[in-house]
Amino acid sequence: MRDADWDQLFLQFIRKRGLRDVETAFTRYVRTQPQEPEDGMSVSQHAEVPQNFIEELATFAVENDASVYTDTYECLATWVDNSLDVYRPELRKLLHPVFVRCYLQLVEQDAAATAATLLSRYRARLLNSQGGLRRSVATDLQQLAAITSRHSLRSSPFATSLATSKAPVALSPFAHELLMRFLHNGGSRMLPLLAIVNSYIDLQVLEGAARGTAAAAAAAAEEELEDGEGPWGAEGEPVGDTGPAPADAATAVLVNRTEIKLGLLQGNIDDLYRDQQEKQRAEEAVTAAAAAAAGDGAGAAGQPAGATAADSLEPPTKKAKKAAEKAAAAAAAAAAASRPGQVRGERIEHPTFLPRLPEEVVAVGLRDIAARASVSASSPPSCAFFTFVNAKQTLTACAFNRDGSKIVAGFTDSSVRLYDMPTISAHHAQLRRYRPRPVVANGGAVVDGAAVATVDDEAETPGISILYGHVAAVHAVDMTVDQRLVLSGSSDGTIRVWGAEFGSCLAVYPGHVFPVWDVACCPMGHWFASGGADRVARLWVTERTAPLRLLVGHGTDVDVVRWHPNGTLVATASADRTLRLWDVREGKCVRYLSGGLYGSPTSMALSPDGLHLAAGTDEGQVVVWDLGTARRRAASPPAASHSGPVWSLSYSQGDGTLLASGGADETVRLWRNDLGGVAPGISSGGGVDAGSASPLQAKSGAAGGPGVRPASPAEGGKGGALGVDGAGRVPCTPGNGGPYGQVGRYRTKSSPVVTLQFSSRNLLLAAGPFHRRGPITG
Amino acid sequence: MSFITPAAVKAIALSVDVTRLTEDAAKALAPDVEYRLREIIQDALKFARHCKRTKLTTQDINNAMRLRNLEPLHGFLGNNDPAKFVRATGHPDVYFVRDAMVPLEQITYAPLPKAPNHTTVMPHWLFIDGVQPQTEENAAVERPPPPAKRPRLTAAGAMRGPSGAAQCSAPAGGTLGQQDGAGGRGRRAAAVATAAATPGTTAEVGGPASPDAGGTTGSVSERVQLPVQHILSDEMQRLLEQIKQILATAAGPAAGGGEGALWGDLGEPAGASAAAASLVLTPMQRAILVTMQTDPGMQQLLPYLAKYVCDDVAAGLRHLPRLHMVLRVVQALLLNASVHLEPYLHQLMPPLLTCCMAKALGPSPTCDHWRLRDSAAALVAQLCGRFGEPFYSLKVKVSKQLLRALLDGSKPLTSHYGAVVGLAALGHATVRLLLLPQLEPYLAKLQPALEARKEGLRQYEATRVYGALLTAAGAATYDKLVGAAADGLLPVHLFRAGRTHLNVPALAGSSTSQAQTQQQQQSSTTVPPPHPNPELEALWEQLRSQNGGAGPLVQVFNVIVADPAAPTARSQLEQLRGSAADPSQPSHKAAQALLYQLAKRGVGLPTPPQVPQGKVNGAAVPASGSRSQSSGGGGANATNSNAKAGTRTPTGTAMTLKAGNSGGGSGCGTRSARAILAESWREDADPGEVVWALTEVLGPPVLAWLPQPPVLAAMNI
Repeated sequence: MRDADWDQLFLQFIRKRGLRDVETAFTRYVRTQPQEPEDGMSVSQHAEVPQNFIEELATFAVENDASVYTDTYECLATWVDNSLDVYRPELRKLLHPVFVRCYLQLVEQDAAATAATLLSRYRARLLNSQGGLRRSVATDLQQLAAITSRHSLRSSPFATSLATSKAPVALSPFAHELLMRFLHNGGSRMLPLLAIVNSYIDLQVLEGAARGTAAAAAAAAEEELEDGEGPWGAEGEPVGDTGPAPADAATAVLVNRTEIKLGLLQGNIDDLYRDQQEKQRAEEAVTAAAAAAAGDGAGAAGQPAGATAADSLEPPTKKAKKAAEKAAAAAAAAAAASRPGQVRGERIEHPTFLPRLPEEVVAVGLRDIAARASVSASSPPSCAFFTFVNAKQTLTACAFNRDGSKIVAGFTDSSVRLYDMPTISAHHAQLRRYRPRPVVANGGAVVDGAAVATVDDEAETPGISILYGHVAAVHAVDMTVDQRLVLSGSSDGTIRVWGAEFGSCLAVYPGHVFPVWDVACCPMGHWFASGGADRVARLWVTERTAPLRLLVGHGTDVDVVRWHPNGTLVATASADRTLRLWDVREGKCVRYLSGGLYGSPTSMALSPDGLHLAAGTDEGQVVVWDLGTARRRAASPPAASHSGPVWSLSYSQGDGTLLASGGADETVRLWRNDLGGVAPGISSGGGVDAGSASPLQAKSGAAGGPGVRPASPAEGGKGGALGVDGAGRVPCTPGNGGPYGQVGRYRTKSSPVVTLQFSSRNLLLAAGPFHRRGPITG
Repeated sequence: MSFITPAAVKAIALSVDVTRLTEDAAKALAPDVEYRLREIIQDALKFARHCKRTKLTTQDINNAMRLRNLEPLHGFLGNNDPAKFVRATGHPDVYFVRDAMVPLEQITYAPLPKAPNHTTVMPHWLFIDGVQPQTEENAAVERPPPPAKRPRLTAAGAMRGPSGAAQCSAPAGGTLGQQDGAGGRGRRAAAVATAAATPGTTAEVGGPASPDAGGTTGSVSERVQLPVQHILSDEMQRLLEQIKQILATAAGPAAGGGEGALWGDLGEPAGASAAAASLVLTPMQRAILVTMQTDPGMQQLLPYLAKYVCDDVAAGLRHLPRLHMVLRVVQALLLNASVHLEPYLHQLMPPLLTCCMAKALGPSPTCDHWRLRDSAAALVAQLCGRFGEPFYSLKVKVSKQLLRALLDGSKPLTSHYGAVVGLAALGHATVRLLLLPQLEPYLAKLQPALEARKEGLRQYEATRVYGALLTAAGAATYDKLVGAAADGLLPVHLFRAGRTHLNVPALAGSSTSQAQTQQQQQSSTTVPPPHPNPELEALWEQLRSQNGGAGPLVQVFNVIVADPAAPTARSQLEQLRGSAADPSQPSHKAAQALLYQLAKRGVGLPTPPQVPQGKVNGAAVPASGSRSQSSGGGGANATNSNAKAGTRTPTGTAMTLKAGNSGGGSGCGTRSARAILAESWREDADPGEVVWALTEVLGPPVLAWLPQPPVLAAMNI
């Protein structure tokens, strides 16, 4: 090969790699260098060229075809998906610019078909992994799809602007190192990619003491901007909604635009109860009216509805029957409006795959609703805390039955334990009676060394049954709705079902390959869901040991699984900082929630009306989404957030006016939920600065607008996404705590709050292990 | 940005016997190793999070490795002590864990660990209708602030991204909030109460369990200290301030004076003057001490006073008057009948023991800290005596500590002195039980210091220790002998004849030191000057006057005195002793008198003269005449080494002693002094043997401590 040929090839190589500076230098060098005859000097120069470099050049010359780009791009995408969790978000930012450049390169090479394949693959991937396209991405794709030939490439302002500018991508140092190693270790195959990265992408390596932190924060902020949402996400629209009209149908198919039915089932217990009440009231009203009609008007004064009816029934004549009907209707309306436990939203038909609740469960449920305390920000609930003593660091999960008389707890020693609280309390009381100690004289059961020592004198405390069967740490426990079965998921990759009465293992579900992180029972029974480290959530029925649905799509471990109150949807939260809602019937993703999660989610709760989803992260943040519109509705400001992972979240029963959160920072916090059925304009005015909210302040603030909840009965009936949409228009600023202001903050003695749950009568039940040395936050 | 450097890879390779790792290979391996490490850490963090923990454990790492089908690391589970990393030599950034060799038997035969406590559930109200009740279950636990992290370790936190930083700040925020809560509750009293919370709490929780609950709270991991609210009235607070102030100011001027003297003078006189000044109490001080002795209200102030004692001792180790004052305070509190010191014993004991056994007390080593040690020891003994009933282990623990200090060769002699004094103060039984068995080995160690050529501080201190030992041992034996004699079990001849009085203990030190000095000068042991015995004096006068100063006995006396080292003198001496020991000989009385006189001049066989039984009678010889003779010349102090060698054999003397005894088993005669002393605490220990052994070990001066026959006679009657 002649020298000039080499020069030419080398020049091309440099160009391909995008090393412009080198290119100019080289051309200058070639021009200035006089053409010398071949002599020993140049031969020795040839010899100096490393052998592998020549090989690279050669392969470059050979493989300079179109498929290289698609292949290497796929390679990069796969690599990014399998990289370390911490750096994946940063690296993912790289994908889009690289893709765009790849596409343009392909068009440049007149490989339009390949380019189209790449584009469709890319879109499919995005839709798969993110459930939709962001607006900016959708625009880009649209523009790109229009560029199909070299000619259009030249004429397109979009392409020229891309060709002249560099896309900035912020990376933390280690992520940068990872990328560089990937690109360089790939050998000649990666050369086109390396060229693109070198020439079109501006890698900004963020140095700093807190490696990873800065980059992640920057990435998160960028994500925010890309989302086009403010920090409170009030005005953000779903992706691609308001953008330019989508050119192709694919862009419009968005997961978040799937129609879903968030309403409760017809004939759920709350409705049953309400119906009963209405019937009763109507009967009362009728009798009262009849009595009034009979001239005994004072007899019905006890019932307010009856009283109004009596008032309106002054003329006691032949119109009595008609008036009585009217009064009954009014009473029913009043009852419907003023009933605190009433749940908004439309009702959906009971699907066939869900069983009906057993009669006794319904009966108990009705009783509980009748006795349910009405809690709200102005009338906060009470909380019973169950301290696990001598549990050290082994308590991992905990679940209560409907009234807290039974507790199921999972431990790292692979045991599941059932605690029967009445028995245990009686036993403790007996101990105290027979062994009076000075500590007890000071007041009650005391969690301290002396008390603990005395308790463990007894070889066996009654009321505790230990269920052995798992061979690794238990990470999740749950109880079925009829309180008969206990489910547990463990690190050994199995789920076990235990009979709560006898404490025997009834079945093993060996579906997960990797640890099971969470299990959740369907509120209607029969079904349950699980999620684990294999990135898959599974849906099971108790009578089959193979899963019925696999919910695939999360990029990393599925950390939390929760059921929608209507039993037809399942929500999952994953360490890839996204949450998804799945349809049980079809097993496909119907909502994709991301953005604004600083840290991976550690807990999740769905509001009783099924319209909202709250998630807590390991950074202590609590974020609330509206499921209908897939928009974030509220996020706790950093000042009011937990200072450690939020282990548990729970909405109050009935109308869900309160959200309770408990975390590793040993606090239980209460948040008021003004989103449901209440005009938020009123509440945002009365909101207090949640950042500095001490319980008292928050309470007074909440008490400042006492009429908030009862004042808007009319909107309660409206229900559904409409009412929420109306609420969403109101701008919420972070300053006033937004629709989720903090109501109270309560410290435990020294126990991280592992589980929180509102009992069916709205007593807040919480549990946690006692650590003398405090939060293990290092 | 990588933490694993090629150098580290090479070092690790070396550690697993891969010696031929090239630089390139290390360079290629390092990033990969780091990537794998990060993967494992990432998975381990997942496990930690799903175990609802925020701290990574070794179990998590193992789980993560199992998740990736790796062999888990063995040997790191269950041991709570953090791995100790050692820097590899030659590599600045390579650390490894020191792996100790553990014998398998040690593990297999180790006792099983205590079964963990049963996990159970205790319910309580966290809040009721949104209001948190201020119960103990809700009171935050007081925690020490988290130790500052080393900067290197924060690098590991970077792995977790932003979460690391957030959680570092978490505990700080938590403690702050918790303090706020406490402040709201306790008002101004809380400020005072926090200081006293610890003693108050242990008093509540520990209760009757043990006095040293405070010492054990730290080790019991799950022990809770309830912040007990201790409200102190304004008046009491003012009184407390006043007390502290006056006690401090009283010490202040003296200290000022001492320091003033220090400017121009040596440390010793300054210290002495300060010490002297400290003895004088101002009227206010006296009044306060009296108040402390009598006022029932002191109980209220007790936690603070106990803390004052601790603090003052800790702060004033170089300041003798302050320490004396502290001792007085404790003494006063002890005397106060309405004050219950029991819950604070664990707080008071350490400062007192410090006063007793500290390495250095006072401004300089030459000042008179001995007295402070003595009185501290007395106080300790008093406390032990008074609270020994409810806390039976108190005395045991204190004496054990003292003994440990004494036997610890690394401790200075001053500490040893304190230990001896303390043991002595704890009672004769303690001395016999603990001190006497250790006497012989300890003295062997002390001997070099005693016999040092150069007279220095160390020798002086050694002498003090020796004196203290002597006092302790002597007093203990005295007690034993007197007791035995009271029971009529003891032959009177065991005791030194001619003793008229017992030395005051405080003087013993100085007298023995003199004796020691003499010994040093002669570099050999000698007969100690006997205690004055008017009876023998009178006899001697009689002898001299009888023959006009030229009787045979007097001549013998003169011969011996002229040259005590001569063989003739020795034989004569032995003869004399023989006759003195034999009551049947007519001249034994005279021989006794002669020996006595010789002994007064330091001449004689070191064995104590045997006084015949029953013959010594205080009333027999009328005391007449006065001590006419001059105390012998200095030259008369020489002792023949033969005598020493001859009489110092254990068997011989023991037999001599035993001869007068009830004629017990002769087999015991071969036992060494150490064995005898080791058993001296027994009830049936032979007093004769003990006395002999003591003489062996401590030298003859101990005999001066033994009771005199008249006392015994009186007791016998």
